[in-house]
Amino acid sequence: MITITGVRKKYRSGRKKIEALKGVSLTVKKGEVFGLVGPNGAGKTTLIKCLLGLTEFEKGKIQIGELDHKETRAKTITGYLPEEARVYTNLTGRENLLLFASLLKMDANKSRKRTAELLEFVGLKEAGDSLVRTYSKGMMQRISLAQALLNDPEIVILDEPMSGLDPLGRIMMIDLIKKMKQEGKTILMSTHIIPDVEAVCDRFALIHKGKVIFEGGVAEVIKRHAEHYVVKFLKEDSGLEEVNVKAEEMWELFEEGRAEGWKVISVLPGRGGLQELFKNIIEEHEQ
Amino acid sequence: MNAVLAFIKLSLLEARRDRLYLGLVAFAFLFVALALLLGMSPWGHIEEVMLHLGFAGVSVFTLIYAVFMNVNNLHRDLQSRVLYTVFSRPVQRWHYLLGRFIGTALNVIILALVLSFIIILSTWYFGYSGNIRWEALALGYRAAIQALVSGAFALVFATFMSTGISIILAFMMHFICANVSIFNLLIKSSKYPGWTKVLFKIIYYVVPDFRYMNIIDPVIHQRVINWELLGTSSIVYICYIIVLLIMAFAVFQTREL
Ligand SMILES: Nc1ncnc2c1ncn2[C@@H]1O[C@H](COP(=O)(O)OP(=O)(O)OP(=O)(O)O)[C@@H](O)[C@H]1O
Ligand SMILES: [Mg+2]
Repeated sequence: MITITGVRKKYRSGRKKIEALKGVSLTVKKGEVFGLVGPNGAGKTTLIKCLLGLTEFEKGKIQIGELDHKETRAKTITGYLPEEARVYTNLTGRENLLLFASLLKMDANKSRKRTAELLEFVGLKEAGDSLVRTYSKGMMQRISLAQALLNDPEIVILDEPMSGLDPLGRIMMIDLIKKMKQEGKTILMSTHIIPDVEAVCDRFALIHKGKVIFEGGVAEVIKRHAEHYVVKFLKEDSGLEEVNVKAEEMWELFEEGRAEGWKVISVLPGRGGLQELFKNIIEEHEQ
Repeated sequence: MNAVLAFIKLSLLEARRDRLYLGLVAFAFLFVALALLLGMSPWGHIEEVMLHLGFAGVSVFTLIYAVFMNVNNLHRDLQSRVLYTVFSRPVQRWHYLLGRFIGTALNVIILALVLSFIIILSTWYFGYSGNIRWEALALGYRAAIQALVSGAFALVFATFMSTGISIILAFMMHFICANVSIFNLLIKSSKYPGWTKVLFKIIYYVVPDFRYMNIIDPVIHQRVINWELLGTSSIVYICYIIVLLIMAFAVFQTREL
């Protein structure tokens, strides 16, 4: 769905040149949630800007479906949530959606209907008529997501959708991403929060200093590398308890827990999960 | 064209919502009210003095409003990165600039119009002749269109310079446009070396001359007004605005958002 080949991008700042992307290639398949992972300054936002035609790049090629990324039609099948939600703060949520709908040449009736639908989808039905400058960060993020979904895009591009959100906001965003995936949308999201990758992504690329240094499936990596899992139980009498367990012993543990009447709170990959993989790969590249 | 219209609407809406812009408008009203009060002091020629001072206020505040709005709208949208969202949609960069400029122009024209009405009606109410001096609307028009030329300069500067410098340069351009004849004197004077004369000549011939729309005295003292001059100078100013906008589009097209 998205094919990026050999993209190089330099920023000029004063007389200095910063090489933000040093030949990035990756492919995002139709219908998957793809994570663009990397530390601050890795070039995630730059890659997304190139993809959306928000900035020029010197070398390489980006295709969206069959189209070159610069074609107008490519922009009509994508939706973009920028890093730190960006809409007009002097307008209400609804006015913002109507404004961006008119940029998409939607007719008045359709855009009113779509706007109402989306405000409901992101849970801003009541707040839709308040000025955006009165919104909390989570509400900002959600109105921006609604903006990105105005044209019912096939491809949704999210730049750090969970950053700065409280736990509840984060859960809401994860739910929304899962819902979009169910609707068959292709999602490219950048993040530096590893648990978010584990929570929603099918595949991911690790990007570091302008280069892709790893690309693979989330399940695969966990299966191959995770040495054990951390299971959290809620016990009637003694509260929360964490247990480290190997994959093959997991079911046995669950049986035991059921017999005792424990509740499972979470199961996460422990040592050898993505977090550690990232750390190892990046350290390797530093040397 | 949908996009241009959308940004025109946005600019009109923001002018009513933004505290800075509302503050500027409030200041303009206050200033003009003070000017009118001053004009009413018992010096005789009440009508003339009120019109003079009142429309001087309109000139100053339409200029400030136009320059400030053109620079601030663009820089705020750049800084807040809302333009990332905007240009992720099928919108050309010049659509955005043109819509913003026209929206700002409408705001400036509305401000000039409202202030002109206030001045004209107060002059009628407090004056001696009992005439409503409708022809003074031409002064409001003059203030607005000259402010728009300076606003277009401001927009060109704002596409590649910082907020403060753009605003200062735009005011400087306004001053130069209002005093182009100085450069003619400088060219004729023998004190300056050759290369500065080339510079003065370029400024003298390239920059629009605001003196050209010379209607203040005839309007205020009820002499014959040269409407044809008003028309031709308007056309000249509009041509300048178009050229400046095209320059702004060209620079903005290549800049990093
Ligand atoms: N407009 C710009 N001008 C100059 N340099 C820039 C510009 N934008 C980004 N850079 C530089 O390019 C590099 C990549 O930045 P980018 O914003 O793409 O990183 P990122 O992976 O999105 O980081 P973060 O996690 O902090 O958002 C950084 O070194 C940054 O300083
Ligand atoms: Mg970023």
